[in-house]
Amino acid sequence: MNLDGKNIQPIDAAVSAKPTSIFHKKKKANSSSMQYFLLLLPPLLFFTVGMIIPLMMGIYNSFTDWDGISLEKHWIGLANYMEIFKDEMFINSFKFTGLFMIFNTLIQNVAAFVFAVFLDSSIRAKNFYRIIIFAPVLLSPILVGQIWTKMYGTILPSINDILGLSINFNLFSSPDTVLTGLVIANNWQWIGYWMLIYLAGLQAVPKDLYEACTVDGGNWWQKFLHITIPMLGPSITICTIGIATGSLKVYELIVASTGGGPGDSSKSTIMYIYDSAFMSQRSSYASAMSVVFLFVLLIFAFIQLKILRKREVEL
Amino acid sequence: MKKGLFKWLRLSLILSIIVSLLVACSSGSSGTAKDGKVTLKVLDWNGTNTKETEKLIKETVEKELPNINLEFEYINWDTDFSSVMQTRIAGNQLPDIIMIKGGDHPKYTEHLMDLSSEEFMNEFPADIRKALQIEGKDYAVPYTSNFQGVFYNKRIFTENHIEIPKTWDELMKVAETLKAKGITPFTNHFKDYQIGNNFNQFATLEVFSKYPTWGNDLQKGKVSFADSAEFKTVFEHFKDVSKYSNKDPFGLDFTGAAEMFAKEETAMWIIGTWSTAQVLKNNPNLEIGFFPTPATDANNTKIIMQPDHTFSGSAKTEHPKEVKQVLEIFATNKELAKNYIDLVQTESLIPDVVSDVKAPYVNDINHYKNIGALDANIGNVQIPWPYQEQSGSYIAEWLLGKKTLDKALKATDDYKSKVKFSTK
Repeated sequence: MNLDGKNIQPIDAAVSAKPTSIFHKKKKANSSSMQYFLLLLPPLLFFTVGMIIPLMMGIYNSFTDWDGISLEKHWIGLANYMEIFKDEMFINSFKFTGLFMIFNTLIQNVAAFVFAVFLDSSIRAKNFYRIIIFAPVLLSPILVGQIWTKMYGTILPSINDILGLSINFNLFSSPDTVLTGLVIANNWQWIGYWMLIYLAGLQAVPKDLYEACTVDGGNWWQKFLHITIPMLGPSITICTIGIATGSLKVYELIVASTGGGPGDSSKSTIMYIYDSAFMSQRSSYASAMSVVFLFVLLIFAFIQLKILRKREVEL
Repeated sequence: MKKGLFKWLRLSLILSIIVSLLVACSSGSSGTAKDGKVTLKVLDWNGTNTKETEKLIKETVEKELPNINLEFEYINWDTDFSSVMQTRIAGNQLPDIIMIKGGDHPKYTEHLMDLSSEEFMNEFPADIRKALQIEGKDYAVPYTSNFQGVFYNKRIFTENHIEIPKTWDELMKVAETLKAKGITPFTNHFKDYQIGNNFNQFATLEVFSKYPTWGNDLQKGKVSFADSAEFKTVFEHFKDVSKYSNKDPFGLDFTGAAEMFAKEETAMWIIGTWSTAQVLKNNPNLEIGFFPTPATDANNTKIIMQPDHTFSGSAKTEHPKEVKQVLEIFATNKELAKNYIDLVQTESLIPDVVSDVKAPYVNDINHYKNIGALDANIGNVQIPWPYQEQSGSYIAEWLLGKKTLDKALKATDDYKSKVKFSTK
């Protein structure tokens, strides 16, 4: 390639040749940036006031002994952070939240994927099924909690009365079954949402890939394994991270259904943080737990993103 | 020219959006209107006949103080009061008048108006004032009290010739008799706050009546739950009650419990007077009786009374004069007090104000007042409500076989460091 400079104008020369035009361009660019900045100002302001400042205040409070009400607070260094890792209630709440997340991530991903594959096929009344499965997404988790409390407490046990059976339907009443009960309620609500993500992903898969596979003699399973799953890589990433982080932050569903009980058997980490801040009046300790939990969420999301993105590339 | 005009139009539009957003975010706090009328915000957690009580208070205040307008905000005491108060204090947005439950005041004294030198506080007998005072100062106008004990179905007791029990053992015999006749003795709603409430009732009777400074000694490390024979008894009472309980107590909440008791599916319910309105809503003809929760020793069997609704003023209100005028109405207007207790179905702390409610349980309460009353706040102040609730969780874990009794008692001791005690 000949780059002897024949057609390349030196930058200095270009600037000196048209100084007025550059000046106008710069002015226009500045004016345009100013407008963009002004447009960004309200959300930036809200983000700073609503997120950055409270986050900084929370981090500062985590190093104090503030109870959330008193006019005084004293610097206590890392004492709150040291206590967290010895706090059995925090560890138990974290275990419960972790299990809740693992079961939700597995079940919701698989169920949403399967529903999406079936409802992307040519089965009859698929729009009707899509609406039915998606409908619970529109409900508030508070309402879902109340619906399933009624379901386990009154509606399902009435089957026992009718059929003369003695099946234990009240999953919220025992520490051994409360996790199962909450996982069922949570999955019932959210499977439809993640199903839509998978459906959108499925509809974006080029049909000629399937045709090519058919020509090569591939069967249904081979198409599913070698085309559908790899092509849904980005959807799997979105769904896995979404379900996992959503499950880690569970609060409303538990408040409206079990209240963290029986005992403390269904107390999630967020719920324990809330109780520490507003019931036990240990605001600074709750702030320290929030900071730790924030780091856990960040690390978790980062690892998931790294692994899943790498998997996407491999696929 | 046209381009420049368009540019300025865009800029001014952006600025107007920013300004309007900021204006929208400014708080609409209480203040003085153009006509000189002062609006005072009232934080209220009363959950019984709220529309009627609000109308009653507003009309009374408007009649006596035409320049004052009251604006009510309702919250649930059990689930929201602490968090709402905390966030309002942090945001410097405490309402002008706050309804505080008796026993909750010590937490908020720094933010409440000192009413000690107000003339209207002399309306109350010394013992009532003392029950709510903190370090000898008044921070609230006492208004109503609730009573806690055993509510029972009079028809079931009469038909089965059951005598009112005076000791815990007698209560268990009554439960056994009822069970033998196919009647479920106790209504238990362990899904929500009942264990916490009963914890305080049993502890008041079995522990605090004998050792009034037990909670303070606990804070100082002089006593512990694990080493207290009396507290072991308190915990064991729950096991006893569970033996004679309705099915699935951990799946039942307060509303369900009130419905169950109203439908006469159970014979007794260990709770407080706040439950009667809900029960009678489900079955207005139910004859509800009342007897004090029996203690192990008959001498300690006393009716448990608790100052309930009280009114306080914010220390930072912009209208201290008007707030005090409204508080004075609460303290002195006996007609308002009487109508209020009739609506809320409770008892007044204002002298000579007696309820018109003619329910049998009211007669029973008046009868048992003669044997002596114990102030529930002896326990509430020393073992703060969050501590009682958490102890309830450990008791639940013990009842469900997830902890031994000793471990439940030890866990209750360990929780001491995780809660802020109300007393200064």
